[in-house]
Amino acid sequence: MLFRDKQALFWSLAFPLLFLVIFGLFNFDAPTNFSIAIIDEAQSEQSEQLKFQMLDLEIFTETEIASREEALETLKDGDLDGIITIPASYGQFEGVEGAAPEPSVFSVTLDETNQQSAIIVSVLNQFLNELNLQIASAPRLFTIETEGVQGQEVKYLDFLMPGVLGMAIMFSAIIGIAVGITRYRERKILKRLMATPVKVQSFLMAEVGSYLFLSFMQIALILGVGRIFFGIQVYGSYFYLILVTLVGTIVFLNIGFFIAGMSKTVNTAEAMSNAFTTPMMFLSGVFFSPDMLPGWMERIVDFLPLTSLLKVLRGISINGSPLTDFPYQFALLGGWIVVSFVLAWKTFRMDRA
Amino acid sequence: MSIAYILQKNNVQPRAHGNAFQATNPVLYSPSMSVIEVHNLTKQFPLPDGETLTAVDDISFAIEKGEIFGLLGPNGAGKTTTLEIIEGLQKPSKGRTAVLGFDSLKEVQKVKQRIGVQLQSSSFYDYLNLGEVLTLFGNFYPEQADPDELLTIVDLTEKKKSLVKELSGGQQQRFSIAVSLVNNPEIVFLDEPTTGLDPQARRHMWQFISKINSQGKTVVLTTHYMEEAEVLCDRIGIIDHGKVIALDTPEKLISDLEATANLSFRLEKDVSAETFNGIEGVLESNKNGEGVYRLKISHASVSLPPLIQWAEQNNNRIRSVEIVRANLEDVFLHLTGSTLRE
Repeated sequence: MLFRDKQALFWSLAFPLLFLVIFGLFNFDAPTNFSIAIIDEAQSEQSEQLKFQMLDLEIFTETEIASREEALETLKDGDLDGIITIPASYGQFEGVEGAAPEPSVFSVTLDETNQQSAIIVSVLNQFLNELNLQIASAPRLFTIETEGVQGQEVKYLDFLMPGVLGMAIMFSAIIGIAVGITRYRERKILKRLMATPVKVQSFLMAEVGSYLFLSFMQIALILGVGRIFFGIQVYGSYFYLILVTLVGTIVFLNIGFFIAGMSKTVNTAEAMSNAFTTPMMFLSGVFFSPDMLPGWMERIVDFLPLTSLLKVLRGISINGSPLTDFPYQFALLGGWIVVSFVLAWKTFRMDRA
Repeated sequence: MSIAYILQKNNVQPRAHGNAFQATNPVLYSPSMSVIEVHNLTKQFPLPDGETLTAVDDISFAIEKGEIFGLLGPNGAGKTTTLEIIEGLQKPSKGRTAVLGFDSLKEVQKVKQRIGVQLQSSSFYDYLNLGEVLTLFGNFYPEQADPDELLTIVDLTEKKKSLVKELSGGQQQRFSIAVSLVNNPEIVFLDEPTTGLDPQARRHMWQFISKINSQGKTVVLTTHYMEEAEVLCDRIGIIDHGKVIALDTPEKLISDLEATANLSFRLEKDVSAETFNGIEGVLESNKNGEGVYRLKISHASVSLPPLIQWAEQNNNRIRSVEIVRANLEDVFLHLTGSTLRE
């Protein structure tokens, strides 16, 4: 039945891919670039040279703008990320001997609503520090070398893909079962089946079986499209990835049956499914890591089934970890299977007046 | 007047045959032929306000092999609940039912294998065609009827490849009857098979039901159309407020009425309605605002001659005479004091 409704099938397969495509279009991994206007109040040879050095960083692109007023206007319109003003006093400190010179104050004008523009300040700050050091001829005592612990370059899409995988099976299993079964009940199809000698368990197992198969198709499609069109790397075992996703599907199917047991109408089932899935999608870290949450919240989120599922999937996909690396997550998923099964068992009824 | 058929207390019946399932009519009753037995059945539902609703109130009856048995009653009388308990879809609060000797509760699988069920307004999968639905449902049973034959019975052969949702209301009803026959059942339960159909489609449906019955299948149906019960059913159980208040053949139910006919006429010269109370066989008389007299009479042959005589003697003239035989509606009105429809 699931596979006869071709439209619904298409969307449940296409929806997660849509995420992959949309996020694939955002180039999160390319170096950021800011378009800035530089207003040179010093108008000296030194300030001209400074400007070149600044643009040499390849993080700033200069937009030529005639006046400060025009620059402010462009900034408000969002066509400019910031305005850097080189003070008139720049380059004149060389004349002062002995005493420490008054610092030349650079001013940066930003649009506060532009989240990334704060980076301009830190870049400029670092640049000026460097300049200070050079001019003071101070010895360089400390330096940083960055090194990735994963041993390979992880792109955002590599991080995203297991998230989309988990999200896809969560949506199709929870919403599919909750809404589908409630609709069958509302239209008395379940009752009609009850009037035949067919066993309730056989019917439910058939539903579970078809959703596991749908999950499998989703996994195959997401992995395939990710690999072929977006060059997403899977460093671990595809087999483990599929296995773990199917384990997750069982948790979500149980939750779906639980919601189907709780809700009397299709509308309720839809609303309840959304209440379960949407917060989980954001909190469990489909698109970004839940590390940014406050600590107490993170501990709660850690208990969500999708959080554990995504940790394992990312571990396998990004780090190539074996399944034995995740005893805590598997214990939690196992717990969820038991708890959600009991809940589903207690609430689920084939017919309801 | 004999009111033996009125089961005011359904379980307090003469038990001349020594069987608790003795229904109503000693002539029709034969213990060896009962395919369904309902014994002191009670079903109560808790209501949200803490009260309990007694949907079925201590009823007993038996259904014979090969008959079309109708449960007739207004909406909410307990017809569907009774049917679904017999089918093993609901559990009784008290009492028990048996189908072909199998207990509906303890041997529910055996019961379900041997019966065909059409539920009130149930639907089927949207994305299967008729042939596929019949094959799917057939697979639930050890014995299967041929889908093509089933579609022929209900005149839907050319719709075999159509989806259920593409059928008209009447076709869907017919199809759900076909589905109820997939296991070649001995007993078919039809819950309001003609509700929502136009009169023509309803008559069409009666033909199909008769056809199924003529193949030797016992048919149990519910209806709130007294005409349907009268035309289609061999025996009728009239059910109201969870109790079976009468059970017999339609003819017997009507002929047992004190007033078997309604006589209506106009008069050239108006008189009071009470004038006719003295005439033999007149049980009730009244006159409406338009000058039409209505008399409930025991038999037309008894009351007509003295009425004509009265007119001659009083220099009056009787016009637009109409004699209508009493129907199940009158039976229901007589038994409950209210009409069947709403």
